[in-house]
Amino acid sequence: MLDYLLNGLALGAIFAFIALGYTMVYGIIKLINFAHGEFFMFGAFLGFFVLRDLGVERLPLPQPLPILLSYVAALTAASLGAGALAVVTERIAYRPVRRAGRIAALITAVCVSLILQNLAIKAWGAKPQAYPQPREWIDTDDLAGAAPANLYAVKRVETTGGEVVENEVRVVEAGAALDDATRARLRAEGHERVYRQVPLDRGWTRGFVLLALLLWAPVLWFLVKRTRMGKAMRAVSEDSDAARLMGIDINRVIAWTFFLGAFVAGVGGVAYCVSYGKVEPLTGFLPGMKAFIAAVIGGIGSIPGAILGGLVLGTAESLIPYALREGLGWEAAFAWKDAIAFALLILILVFRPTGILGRAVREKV
Amino acid sequence: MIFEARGLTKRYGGLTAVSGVDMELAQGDLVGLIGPNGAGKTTCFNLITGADAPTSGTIRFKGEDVTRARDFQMARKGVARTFQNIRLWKEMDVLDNVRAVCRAGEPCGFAAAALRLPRFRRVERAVTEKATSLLQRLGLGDVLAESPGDLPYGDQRRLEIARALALDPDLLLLDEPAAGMNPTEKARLMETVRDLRREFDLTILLIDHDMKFVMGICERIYVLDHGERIAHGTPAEIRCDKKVIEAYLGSEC
Amino acid sequence: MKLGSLLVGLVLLTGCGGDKESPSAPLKVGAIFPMTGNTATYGEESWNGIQLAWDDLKAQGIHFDLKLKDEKSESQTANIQTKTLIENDGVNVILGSVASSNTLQIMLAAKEAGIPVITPASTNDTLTEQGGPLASRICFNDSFQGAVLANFALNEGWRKGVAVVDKAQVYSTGLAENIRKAFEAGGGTISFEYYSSGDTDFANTIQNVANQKPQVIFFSGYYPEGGPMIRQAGEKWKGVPLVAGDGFDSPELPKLVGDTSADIFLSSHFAADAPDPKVQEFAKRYEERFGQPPGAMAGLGYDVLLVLADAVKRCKDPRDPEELGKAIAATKYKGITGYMDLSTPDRTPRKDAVIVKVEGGLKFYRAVPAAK
Repeated sequence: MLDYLLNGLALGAIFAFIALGYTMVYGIIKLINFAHGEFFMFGAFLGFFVLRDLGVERLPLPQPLPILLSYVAALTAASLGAGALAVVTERIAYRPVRRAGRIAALITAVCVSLILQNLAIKAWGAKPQAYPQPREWIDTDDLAGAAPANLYAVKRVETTGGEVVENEVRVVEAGAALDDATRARLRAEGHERVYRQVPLDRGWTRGFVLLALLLWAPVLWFLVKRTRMGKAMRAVSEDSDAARLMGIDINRVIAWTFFLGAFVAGVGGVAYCVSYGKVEPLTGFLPGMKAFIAAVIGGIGSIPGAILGGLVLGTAESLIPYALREGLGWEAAFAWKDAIAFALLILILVFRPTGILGRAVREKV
Repeated sequence: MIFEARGLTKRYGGLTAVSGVDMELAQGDLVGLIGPNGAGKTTCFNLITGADAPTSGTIRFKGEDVTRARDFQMARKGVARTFQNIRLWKEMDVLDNVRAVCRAGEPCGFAAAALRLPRFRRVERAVTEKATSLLQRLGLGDVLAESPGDLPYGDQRRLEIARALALDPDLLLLDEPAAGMNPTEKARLMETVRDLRREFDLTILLIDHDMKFVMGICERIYVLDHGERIAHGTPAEIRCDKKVIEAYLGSEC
Repeated sequence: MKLGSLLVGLVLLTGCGGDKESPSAPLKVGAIFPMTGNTATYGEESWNGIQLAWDDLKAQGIHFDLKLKDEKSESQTANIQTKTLIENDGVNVILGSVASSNTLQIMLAAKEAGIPVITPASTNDTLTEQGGPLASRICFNDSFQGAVLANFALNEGWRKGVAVVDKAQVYSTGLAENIRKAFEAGGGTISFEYYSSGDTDFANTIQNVANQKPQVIFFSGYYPEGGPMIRQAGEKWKGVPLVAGDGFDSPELPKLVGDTSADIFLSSHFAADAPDPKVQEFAKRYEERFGQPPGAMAGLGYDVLLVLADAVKRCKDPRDPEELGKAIAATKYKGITGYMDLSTPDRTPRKDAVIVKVEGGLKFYRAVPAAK
């Protein structure tokens, strides 16, 4: 039961991350930005390239600092990149139709989503690619079961001065079994230690997502509630004409809103793909849909609502099938989690159309 | 002249809403803009504030040609306004309504705010002080945390004025500031407007339907009818103007 | 004369379909594969294999007019592309696809138009029955594959199994049922856990499987979900061997699985490093041209065009769908994926299978002889 709850919270935290962007953009221009999942995907890909080509996949051995730095670099690239894509998208696709009505904007959003997916397919190929895996290195003699490619031999090399000691690292050649003979040979060559590389427990990545959510949510809350830009966002959200006449540059405010939402989605994209192991141009689609549901469940337009909605949806997707399976003996319950998510959406729309934390919109008379 | 409009014209399709209007305001003026319904007063306001671009004509403000300036730019250059139908942000409290508009101290980017740099705190404090003192000046010091929607009508009007003053305007446009007020409130409003003009060095242009109010407060009056300026002068001159009486007063008297 | 040929040209242009063309023009062959979407590597590999065979045939002076259509890993698109190929391009025969759900749509659409279909890789039992007499395949079916997987596990002494099943695919639900039958018949006990293709989060499925403490975990599904699922399982399935069907046969699988100490076996049609010299030669050529070792879909893609060429050779008029269909159903051909005798009631060859082990890449483990 606890396992299932944690699984649900971990997934829900990711939904919450994406839902934040949906809710902020909806809050300000009443647009359901269906391309938001693609910003998430774009961030995930940028993180993928950083980790694969500059980061963890390139590092041969346990070097905690560079590895940490490469994750920081991946998250930075992902969030800034996704933010930039969102700003550009808003400028060239959404701004021209802003005054053309909500249906026009909605159709534009769906089209932008498809265009971005297809551009990603053109650029990076359609097939799912394995995401760089967080690993740890175990200095061990107990090497049974480790695939040969994951063994690293370390040799201590003294530099000419005789003072500095460096580790020379090399991968044990693929296919070499680590039997006694190999080990003796490695030792004879001066390799003192052999490391086994093992995947980091998933608890770490999931913990990171929850932690990031806990850190980010108050920051966003603060930005929107306390800063001038945040107040401008709320002003534009409520009456953008009045805001303009009060000296607020609504284009800039809207661009910032898109940026912030996508920035957060970029972080979510990397975390999601690290956690679930692959990235592809359709990566953003289902999480994007779920996050939209989460935003509606929490009350679209409300930041705490997006977070609550994400966590509620993730938990429901995990615990409701669990209950159906344990209680009613329905074996296939877990395969129906998407249906459960959509059913939850419908129930919310029927019984509480404004969502859990949403306020009824005051009709302008 | 702080403000100068020449040949201001606005057409919507075949309809000419404003046609060749000239207008001049000197620093410290308190001028009225009147006319029957549909005379083009609100269109004039929209052109002056940049909410709409004129079809032809020029606007100069503080010596600068601002004919093509956008609305938020005009606001930053020092043209502030209030609205005929009150347009406060009802989901924010009274203080935030003013703070959202307020500029004070050094410029502070979003990044500085996100990182909560000391500069952000300083600016935040300056903005809050300025907003609070403005609200106190307009007698709203006790309702800072309330929702504007819960305030009495007169207070909402004054909050709109406070919000407009937060822009540090040189030119303040008041769109029917006395609408819906009783004679006592109107009298008080007249006082307030005169005082504010002196305190904040304002030039004021106002629209109102209440002739008595306009005549009582304004030093000069422009009269529009069917988009054209039909008269201009002191209240006494306007009262005797034949065209005005025909077009506007005549129908009422 | 000039006017005459112009007229002939006009007749050809206005004639619908290809059946009015001169007999010397190459036969029009449609190919439908998933070139994008979830299972894009299947399409890529199949098409690579077909291209190699196409070149080989050209060298022998045998020409086909091949047209490739992308079914985007969607069964609905497979159906539309079939109709497009038949109605617009006037193809005489169709090759495709990989996922059984999508092949079924191709076969149903082609059946309506009376055009023969050969699927290189779809294994669902009932496909050729539903597709009618003009539908055939060159791979084994899932009742055989299910037995191969079940017996492999039983022979290793693993008697308590959990099967992880993609409930959204015809292939996987059918294969799972076949595994169950054979595993229970051999004295094993088995239960099912479900997911859906397109899922990415398998935490709960993994937990459900782990709770049952199985001796073996079967997979009935495709690698784009299977790979990440094994990776996500990490230590939770430590020490439990994993046995999968041919839906896991992709060069991408080892990459998606990532670092693992798990023993992963899968049944397949072909292994690039199998001892057969013909296979070795094919694998070498394939790797030289496409930069990676061929998976099963590549081998089957290669064979399917050669099987078609063999059948065309035996036809007086290969443009007659009935005749071509009969010729295909009479095929007895030895390809790189094994000996294919299609003259069975279900136009499905009784072929050998191979067990492949995942060790860095896909490694030949052992051959399993064909059913009698």
